[in-house]
Amino acid sequence: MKLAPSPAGGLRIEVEEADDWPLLYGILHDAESPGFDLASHVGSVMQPSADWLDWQEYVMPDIREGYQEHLKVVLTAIETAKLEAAGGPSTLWISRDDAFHWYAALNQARLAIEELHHFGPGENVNPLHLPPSRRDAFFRSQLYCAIQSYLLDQGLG
Amino acid sequence: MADTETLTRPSEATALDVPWNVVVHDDPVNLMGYVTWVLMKIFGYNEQKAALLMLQVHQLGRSIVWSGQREKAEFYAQQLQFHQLKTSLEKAA
Repeated sequence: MKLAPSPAGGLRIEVEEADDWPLLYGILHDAESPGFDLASHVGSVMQPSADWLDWQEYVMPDIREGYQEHLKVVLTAIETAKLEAAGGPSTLWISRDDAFHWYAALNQARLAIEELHHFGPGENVNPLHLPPSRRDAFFRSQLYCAIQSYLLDQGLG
Repeated sequence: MADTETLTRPSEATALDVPWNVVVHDDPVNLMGYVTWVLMKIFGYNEQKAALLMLQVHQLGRSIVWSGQREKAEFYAQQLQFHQLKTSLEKAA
């Protein structure tokens, strides 16, 4: 898999082999990890109060809906590109308009991985000392972070 | 006995609304450039101010990014959480 800026702004992901597709689907798989609720995570610092109960009831459903929208955009882009390439090599284009959806989906995936594995700052982690499942999660998180950095460099629209 | 007359003296009390703080908390996953971008997008801050607030979040663990009327504070907190930043509301001291 290669990442490169696209001429019209945004980013393109060169899917070089069939094994790259599961990596891309991994974004969605990680983002929807069982037991992780992003809306609760970002609201976890709110003071427990009657207002907080209202927040959970009236505000958080809208926030969750927004998160799902990001995942839908990413899923549609991956499925469309994979279908057009019949599962083989292809180029997946991320337009500037969709850049924030991608960034947010990747962030959701990284937050979920962090919640489950507690890696902390990546530079402090030695993947050689991790068991295979945690090592895979660490590398996925690093890959997602690299894509996010490219998206930030190209502008989030 | 003289008729008594009740006089009323109107009084007016004005209680000033206590401002509410919108607080962003550190989350090691969020990239610093992203936090800066979100603060610029939501509050219209220039890059210098947004980057300064981002550094407070990063180095101090939290930063008051906006203070003011409660309804607006709630709106901003919702926007920040939509952008996946850990955010709380608190009454200003």
